[in-house]
Formats: sequence, structure tokens, C-alpha cells
Amino acid sequence: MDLFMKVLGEDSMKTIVIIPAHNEARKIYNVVQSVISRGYDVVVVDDGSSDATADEARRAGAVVLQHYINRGYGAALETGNAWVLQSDYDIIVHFDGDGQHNPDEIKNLVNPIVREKVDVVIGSRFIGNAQSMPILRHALIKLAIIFTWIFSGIKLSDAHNGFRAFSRRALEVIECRQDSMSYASEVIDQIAEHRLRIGEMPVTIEYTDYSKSKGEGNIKKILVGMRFIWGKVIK
Amino acid sequence: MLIQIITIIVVLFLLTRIGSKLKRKEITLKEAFFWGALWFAVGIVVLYPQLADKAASYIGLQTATGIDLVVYIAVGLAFYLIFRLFIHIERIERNITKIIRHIALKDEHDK
Repeated sequence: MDLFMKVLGEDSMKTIVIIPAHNEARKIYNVVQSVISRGYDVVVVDDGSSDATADEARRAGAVVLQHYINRGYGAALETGNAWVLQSDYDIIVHFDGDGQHNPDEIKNLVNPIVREKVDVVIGSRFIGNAQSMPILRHALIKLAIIFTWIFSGIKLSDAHNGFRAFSRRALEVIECRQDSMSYASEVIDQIAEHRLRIGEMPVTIEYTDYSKSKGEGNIKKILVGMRFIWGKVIK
Repeated sequence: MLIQIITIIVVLFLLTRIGSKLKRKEITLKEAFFWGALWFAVGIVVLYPQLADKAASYIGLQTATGIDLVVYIAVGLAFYLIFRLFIHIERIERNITKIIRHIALKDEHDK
């Protein structure tokens, strides 16, 4: 059966893309459409939006799960994961709802899992063509990479990249409890704990004025690290 | 002294509040005992400050006076309570998320 799957490749593996979204009504329709048009199923987790995010996502053809109140990025992804695990999808992709990820790159993240080389693939901005960004932000990411390395023992070339792909087997064992952005650190911690095989693939992040306005400041990024440690203390 | 009178009035007021909260079952007997003992100890130290001095020298605080010991204990206790509160809030937050997730999945399932 495994060999059969390998011969058939990506087409035989059911892939779904989970998009957490909070007040993304302006962008979510195009983001969902761009992913669906490439042949993937999409589930959008509307995390307590006060705008028409859920309606726009439904209009674009996504399954929509709605949090009645905002619970955070990690909580939204975990809701998506829980829903996907009730279905028969083989590969699960996490994708941002603000349009900064490139849907053409989904197949690059999925392929190593289809070929059973790894269980999890994390997108990296720093493999291949390094992208320009402010020095302070670059330094903070480097610090976050060291932070992740110390806590999980996994040395990545990027940190807090929200573009990831998991095999079903991986997602079944990963158990994240942190609701906020610190999910990004916790998921790496879980990958290490369950000794899952991890790989990185180059991804391009499109920094638009819109995505920058939705992004977090440098101080908030530092607080995310502290939040992660606190979450571990009271695990 | 005036400070002793004011403090004793406050302590007595707080002890009656603990009693009424226990009566209305808003706190458990264990909680009432803890807070009652704490405020009772505050009242004793205010009435007999020399007791705190003796306690300070007994545990080896050579240069410190009794009131320093009281402040040390108060700060330590405050930090401990803040820590407990944070843990409690975190658990409530996680439970809220579980409920919200359950509703989200159920809503989609029931469609």
C-alpha cells in the first residue's frame, strides 16, 4: 500500500490547508480561492472575527469553523487540527490568512511528506534566497532560532514561520496547549518530544502593508517567547 | 497608638467579612481558616510588636527588627498568591478554549 501511494504521489494523498483567520475579511476570499484553485481543500478557522471573515471564506468555498470569541492563533490552529483528524486527510498544511504565503509553494512543503522523507516540513525564509528585513527583526529571529534550539534541540534556519505541513501520523501525536502565537514554539517542542522527522523548505513571504499591519511588533515577539516558557511551567 | 487602632479596626472588619462569606458559602472552610489565621496574625503583631522582634531574632535575623520579618513574609506570600492566581487564570483560559473549540466543531458537525 505504501509503495502504491509512493507511485501515485501527491495526487493520491488527500491534502487539506488550515487557515486561521481573525478579522481578515478583506483578504480571506482571495487567499482561500488561490489555495482551492491549486486543488487543495481548505478549512478556515474564524477566530472570533467582528467582520465578515467567515462569510467571505464560505463564499470562496472553504469549510468554516467559528470560534465565538477570539482565542488566539494557536487555539485556532488546534481547532482546525481537531476537525481534520475527524476526517480522512493524509497531509495537513498550516497557511496564513493575510496573503503573505505563496500557494504555489504548498506542493514544495507537501512533497517531502508524500515521499515519506519526513513527518513535518517547516517553511524557511532563510534557505536559498534570504529576504531583506530590518536588522532588529533579523536579530530577533536569530535569537528565536537559538531559543528554539535550546528548548527543543532542533536547529532550524527560521523561527515562527507559520507555513508548515504535517503528515497525519505527526498531527495525531502532537498535542499543543498554548493558545497564542507561542504555538509556533510549542509545535517545534512537540516535534522534538515525539522524535518526529523534520525538514525545512524555502518559502517566500510577501510583506505587504496589510500583512505588516497584521503582524506583531518586536516587543510582542519577545513576550511570545516568555509566554512559551510560562506555558511549559504550568503544563 | 493611632496606627494600632486603625489596623485593629481594619482587621476586625476583614474577619467579619470572612465570617459572612463563609456563612454564604462563597469560600470554603479551608480558605476561611487560611485568611482568618492570616489577619489574626496581623492583629497580634500590631498589638504586640515585640513578638515579631522575638520571632526575627529567633530565626536568625540579627540586624532586622520584627517589622522587617513581617514585610519579608508579606512579600513572599504576595508573590506566592500571584503565582497561584496566574496558574488558576491559565487553567480557566485553557478550559474556555476547550469549550469554544467544542462548540465550533459541534456547529460544523450539526450543519
